[in-house]
Amino acid sequence: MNSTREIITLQFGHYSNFIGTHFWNLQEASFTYEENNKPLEICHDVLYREGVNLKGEVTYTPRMLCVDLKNGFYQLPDVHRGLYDLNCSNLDEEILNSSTKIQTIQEEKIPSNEFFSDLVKQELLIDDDSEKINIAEKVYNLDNDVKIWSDFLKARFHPRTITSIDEYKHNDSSNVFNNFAQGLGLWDSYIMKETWTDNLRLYAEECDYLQGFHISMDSLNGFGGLACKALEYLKDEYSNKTIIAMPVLSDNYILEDENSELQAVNTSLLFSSLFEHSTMFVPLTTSSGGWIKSQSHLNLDYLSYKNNLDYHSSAILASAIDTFTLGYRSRFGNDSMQTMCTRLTPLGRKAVSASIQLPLGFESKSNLLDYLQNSTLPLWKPISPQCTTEMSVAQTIVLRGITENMLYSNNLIRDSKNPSHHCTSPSDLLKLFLSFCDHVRMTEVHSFDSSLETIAPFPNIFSQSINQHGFVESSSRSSTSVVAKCAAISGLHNSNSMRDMFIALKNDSSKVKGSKLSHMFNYDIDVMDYKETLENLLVLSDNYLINDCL
Amino acid sequence: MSAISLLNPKAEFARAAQALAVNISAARGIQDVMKTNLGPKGTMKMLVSGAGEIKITKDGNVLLHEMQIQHPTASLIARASTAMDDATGDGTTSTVLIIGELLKQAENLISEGVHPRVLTEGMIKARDKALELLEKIKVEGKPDRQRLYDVATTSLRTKVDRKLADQMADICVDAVLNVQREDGIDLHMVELMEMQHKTSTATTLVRGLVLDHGSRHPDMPRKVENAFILTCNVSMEYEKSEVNSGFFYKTAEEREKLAIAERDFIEQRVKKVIELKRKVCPPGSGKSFVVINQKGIDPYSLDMLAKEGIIGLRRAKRRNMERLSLACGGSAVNSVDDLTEDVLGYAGSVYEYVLGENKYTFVEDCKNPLSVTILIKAPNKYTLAQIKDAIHDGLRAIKNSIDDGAVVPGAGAFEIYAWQELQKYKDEIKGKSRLGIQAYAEALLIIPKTISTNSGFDAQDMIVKLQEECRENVGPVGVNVDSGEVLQPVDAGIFDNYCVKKQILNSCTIIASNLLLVDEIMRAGMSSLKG
Repeated sequence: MNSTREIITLQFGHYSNFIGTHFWNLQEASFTYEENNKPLEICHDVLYREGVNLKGEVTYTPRMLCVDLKNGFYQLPDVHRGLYDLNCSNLDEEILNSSTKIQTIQEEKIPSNEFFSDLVKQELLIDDDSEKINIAEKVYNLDNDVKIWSDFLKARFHPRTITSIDEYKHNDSSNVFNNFAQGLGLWDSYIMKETWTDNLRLYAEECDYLQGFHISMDSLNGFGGLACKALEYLKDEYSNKTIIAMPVLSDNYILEDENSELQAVNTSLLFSSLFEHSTMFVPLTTSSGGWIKSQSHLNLDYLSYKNNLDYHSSAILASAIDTFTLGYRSRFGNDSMQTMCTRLTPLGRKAVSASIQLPLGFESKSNLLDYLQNSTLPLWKPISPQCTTEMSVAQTIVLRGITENMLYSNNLIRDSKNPSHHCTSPSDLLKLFLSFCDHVRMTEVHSFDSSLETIAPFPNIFSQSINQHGFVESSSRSSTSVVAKCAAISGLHNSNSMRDMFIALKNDSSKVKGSKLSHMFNYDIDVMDYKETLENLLVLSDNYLINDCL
Repeated sequence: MSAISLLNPKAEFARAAQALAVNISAARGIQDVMKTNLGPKGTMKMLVSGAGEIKITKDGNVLLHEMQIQHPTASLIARASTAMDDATGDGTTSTVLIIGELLKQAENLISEGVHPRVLTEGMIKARDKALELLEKIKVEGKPDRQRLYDVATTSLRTKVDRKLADQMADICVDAVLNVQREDGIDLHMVELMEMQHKTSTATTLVRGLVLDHGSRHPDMPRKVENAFILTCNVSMEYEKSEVNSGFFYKTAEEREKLAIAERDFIEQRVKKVIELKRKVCPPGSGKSFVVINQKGIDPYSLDMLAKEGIIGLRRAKRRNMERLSLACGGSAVNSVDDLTEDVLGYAGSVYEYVLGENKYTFVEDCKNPLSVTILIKAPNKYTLAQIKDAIHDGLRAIKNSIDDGAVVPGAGAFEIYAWQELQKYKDEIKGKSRLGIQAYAEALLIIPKTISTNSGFDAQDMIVKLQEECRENVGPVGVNVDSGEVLQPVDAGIFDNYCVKKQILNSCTIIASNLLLVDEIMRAGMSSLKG
């Protein structure tokens, strides 16, 4: 009997879906279709489900539900659909047969970008070797083409995956979806309360050992409210499942929206609800301000990305999620979401920060020992708003893309007294290294051989000194080749600096004038509740004061 | 110069006649789009999205939701009309048409110098009169099956193909009559289940329940008869979590013990169910047992159930718990302690049907099903959606007429009658507000006019014929869409919902008069008013 511990992924909002799209593309890139392969390290069944369509073909799709506003996405018939469609040739017949007249209203066709055209071509030419296009090796520049997440969605979904909210439209300036209360109200619509919950139930029904939910939501706009109601529902219906929530904050929204004070308010309302309803939550952003405008953003040594492009910043966050969740998605370990959450969130410290180093900055032909000895600390950069990763009480670090034969250089003279010369796996060495230079009480280290598969549609954000395999090279990479994979490190840290984040959030929210708030609280929340929520944030932040908790 | 431009030079504005012209042209615009849909002979519209997605519909409500309306006035009208649909399930197209027509009539008068305020006063008087007339023309009495069927076909033929409409109407009437109880009708007790099927397009009524999931164990029976049904909301899943977290144990053995105890705890629950099964289904009695659980059942528990020949279904829909006890009797339980026979329901047959990756479980042959399922089969998504919309509307129409205890003759009969009576009423009113009444009466005629135009007949011809007939006082008369002649809607079985008509009269008048009274439109976004 299958004993995979399944996870259901839930995505709320446009930026979450941006990250999600990268995430699922990364998963798909790491599939291997060859038989007789040694089993993969990563068990995709945790996140994916196997199904059968009406034609009897086997399908493999993410166990995922995403929600977005109308016009926030599209599905091209050639690229995204078709898994469960039957041939539509009988459509014309039917129309001819019916007695009534039909008037056609056609919207403007969505132009297909270079990547999609190649994808379609590749599928058509699958038997024809003469003109094969190798998408994995071609250099695409989609920076200007990608406006919404379906512009680079390669993964195919089950038909029940996407839920479209018709009440609000994407980028509609006359009816914006920018406050928490709107999201709360939206939960009562038929599409959420009936259709969405039903779709979720159908996924859950299939699972034998459902362990929990990954849920990501836009925290700056109304989707926080919607996700909050969804969490309440999960708590009610799936009471003892683990919930890891990832509120995401896009820099882009702050720059666009003139009314950006509300974003701090939305965020504090969401965070306080996450304290109540999630098992653990990880705020994710690439800009250091998070909910307020800020000039600085995440700066990684070998990446040159544009922080105002969602397409770029979401790729980094997706890589982090893909990496730090590996611990409970591996085929061999028996770690579960529950154990990881218990380890990371002692004494009600449910909020944890995340970090990443992408690419690792590992020189080709170098070894891990040298890399660690020459590196500057910390090894990673924080990707949670307004906090650092120092002063943590617990942390989980995942290193990927470094194999055992990259541990030591060939001409290392082993010193029998030096423990660092006798590690058998990258995780052992890293753990040892961290125990010397970091004073975190509980450090869990995982390492995986498989690297991050950064082929298109992953954006070309690597600097020229990174070679095709993701390592640093002295000569620069030719402009016609792409970085196909790279090593990365990512972690989750329960750091005392989360307290600063909450205090900053509380202060920024309190600054918002009452007149701005009044039109926000038309229903469901009143000002008293809101004030209480802010106070509550302060109380919760005190959990991070006590240093000697364990 | 508008006052706002002093405060905010960036604001856009339109005044008086200009403002009115903006509103009227918007109302006319949206009217033009919807016009061709009205009536059983209206055209279908096929909406093709940018990505090539297809939606075929004739339902005004669906159209308004799908169309991207930019103009603020038009979207106000659209929102009002769809709100109307939310409340009653019908009448969207009529609302849009009448609002457009009221504004058109008013435009002529205003251009001749009548003040909008005077006009709206007249319209409100006319509305009150029209509501009185509605009371007079309505056919009262508890509707019988045939009457309900008539109402449903009338509503459905305006939304879907005729053949389909007649079939749906039949199903809807049966469904509603089945779930009807003393204390009213809960349409939630009619479950709609979709099946995407390769070839067939068929919709059937199942007097019982169809669940969209099946058993997850290979040894469980696929079909049983004479089944006792236990509906429960009890987790039969072993959660490692509870022992893993926290400070409950000191040593590995202790932890192991706790884990076993936890496992045992779940096992006890399953054993209690099995115990009950043994009690009510002694071997050889030909009876069987089905457990339908709202929470999860893990493979180990499923295995225990399967060994006893029990069908176990997990993660049932929350609302199905209520439906199950209505369909099969019994009641849903939240704990397996003190299980008795009283909580069990009964169904003559329970069987599984597999279609692709989807499993369906039919719970049929119930003694007195107070909850039924309408099973929709269609080869593609948009047909499914179309049928589903139609059934929703059909059910609502039937429920409305039972709740109202009255129906209104359709085919434009009410509008003709109201026109005639308003002409008489106009003479009783002094002053300029009679102009408003006149405009109102004319505006109502848009309904029979559009119905005849859409059926391919001359609108003026038809109206004249109807007015003549109506004067002779033979009872309500309406448009015959097939022959272009006059018909008696009561004999032809064409009936509209009373509450829909009432809503139309009310909301159209209010929206139209509000739009007429607008004398300045200002547009200044939040962004430009900042600071």
